[in-house]
Amino acid sequence: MPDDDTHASHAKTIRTLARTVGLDIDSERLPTLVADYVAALAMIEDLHGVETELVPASPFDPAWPEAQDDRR
Amino acid sequence: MTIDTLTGALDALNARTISTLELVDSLLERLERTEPTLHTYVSIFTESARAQASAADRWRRIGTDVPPLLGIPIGVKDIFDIAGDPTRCNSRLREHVAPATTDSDAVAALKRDGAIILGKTVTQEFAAGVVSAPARNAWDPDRIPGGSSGGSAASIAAGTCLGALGSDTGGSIRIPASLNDVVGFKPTFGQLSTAGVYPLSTSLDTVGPIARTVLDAVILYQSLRNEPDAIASSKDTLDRQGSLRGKRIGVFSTYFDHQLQPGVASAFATAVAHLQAEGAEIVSCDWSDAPAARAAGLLISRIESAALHEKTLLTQPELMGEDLRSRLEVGALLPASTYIEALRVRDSVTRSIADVFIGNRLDAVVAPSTPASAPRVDASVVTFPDGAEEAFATAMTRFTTPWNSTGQPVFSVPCGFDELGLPVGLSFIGRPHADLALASIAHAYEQSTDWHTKRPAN
Repeated sequence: MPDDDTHASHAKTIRTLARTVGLDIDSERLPTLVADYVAALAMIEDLHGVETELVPASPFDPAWPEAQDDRR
Repeated sequence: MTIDTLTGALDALNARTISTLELVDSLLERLERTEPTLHTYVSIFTESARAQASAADRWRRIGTDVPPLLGIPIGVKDIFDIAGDPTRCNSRLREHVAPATTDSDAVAALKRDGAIILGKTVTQEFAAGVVSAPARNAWDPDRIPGGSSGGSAASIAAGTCLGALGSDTGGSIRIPASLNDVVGFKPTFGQLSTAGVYPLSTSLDTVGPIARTVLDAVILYQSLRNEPDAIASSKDTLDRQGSLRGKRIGVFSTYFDHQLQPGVASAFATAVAHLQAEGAEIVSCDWSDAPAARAAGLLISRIESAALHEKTLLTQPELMGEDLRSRLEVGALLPASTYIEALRVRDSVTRSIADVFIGNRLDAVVAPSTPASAPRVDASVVTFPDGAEEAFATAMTRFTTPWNSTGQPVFSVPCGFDELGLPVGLSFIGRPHADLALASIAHAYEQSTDWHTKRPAN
């Protein structure tokens, strides 16, 4: 659980973002949203550190050059 | 004699030891006993199922061009369109939706092959979550069945249908299969048509079967991928490659061994030892990108589902359940840059897991399907031996979502019970488009154990 200051900061961010996209967030539901938002931030943190390439590729090739294919 | 496997039913029907009508009536009788407790169906097509059963019996008596699944009763998750029936997705938003005008491709394939659609099974609202209320776990009705294909898995476990359709975006086939001691199969992403299935996250959504055994699941899979002629030889296909001897099975030394309930850890260790005793070569390996793979899957799913439901989120949020609403709201708040980064990470982790498979010459990897057995319906967290708590929806998807990111095929197969007598599932993860090769490994494991023969008390 975030401490009070962090919670307030996240709540402010959520309210600002919500206004931007047209969502109406009432105070009653804010704690749930803060918890879910914090979980999403943790997931975003998990993305960092993975080396990525700018060039899009198909999901499997050429990563699986010798992959068997049941359809053959 | 109770018939509760698809293969057993086909054998009995073909041998004329039971009629289709007797089979359907036995399931309907069972439904009358179990539904007041388990609530796995949203609708049961009693009259049409009985009429189709009678027609199937007439067809079988004539004996020409009998389709391969003739008379097999199937449960269909209520996000698949069935012509003439409303697809309500367990949402008040679709309470008054018009009946579907055409069958989803999956339902059409099963009907083409002679299956009887027995009813619609309970899903979590729009397939987004793991609770599947009001459905309950077939092994303990005080516990959740898992989700989002919870009604499908619990109905198989309860013996009220012989095969079921599910969908899997972050674990929705494998989680309920694991929690109910049945087989869940998420095929390689993109193999099966999702046409006519209400989407959650289109770049992750995968259709697949839930069944009592791996063979039953493969038979349904052959139908779903429009290979009905392959159904009759499914057992031979699995048996041909069926030995575990010499198979290289990876076991991760990180992430997938972290924060497990003791009963799950024990069942998994026993399963790995069993694989080794059966001649498989156990290869310890590491995949440091697993947390990122999971994060990418969850974020892509959150953002795509928010985009899909954007209009109703803005105009009718009060008609959404709280789980769905908060999930969509958070998805709507995340920036496009997060989505782009998640897609790039998805691409990267797909390559890194390929390196793990190729570098270690693996035929499959195994991992627990979930880190915990079924939580009670009133639980909000899962507690681990060190006292750590994790929101149960987060815990349940921890080991499943990475494989949605990578798109690989996965079977969840029964592998034991915890100290409370609750089922534990073992996931076999394979190479993309090698679904049948993976099935043969999962089948060989299953047939060398008796976990799939256990039945709940009801």
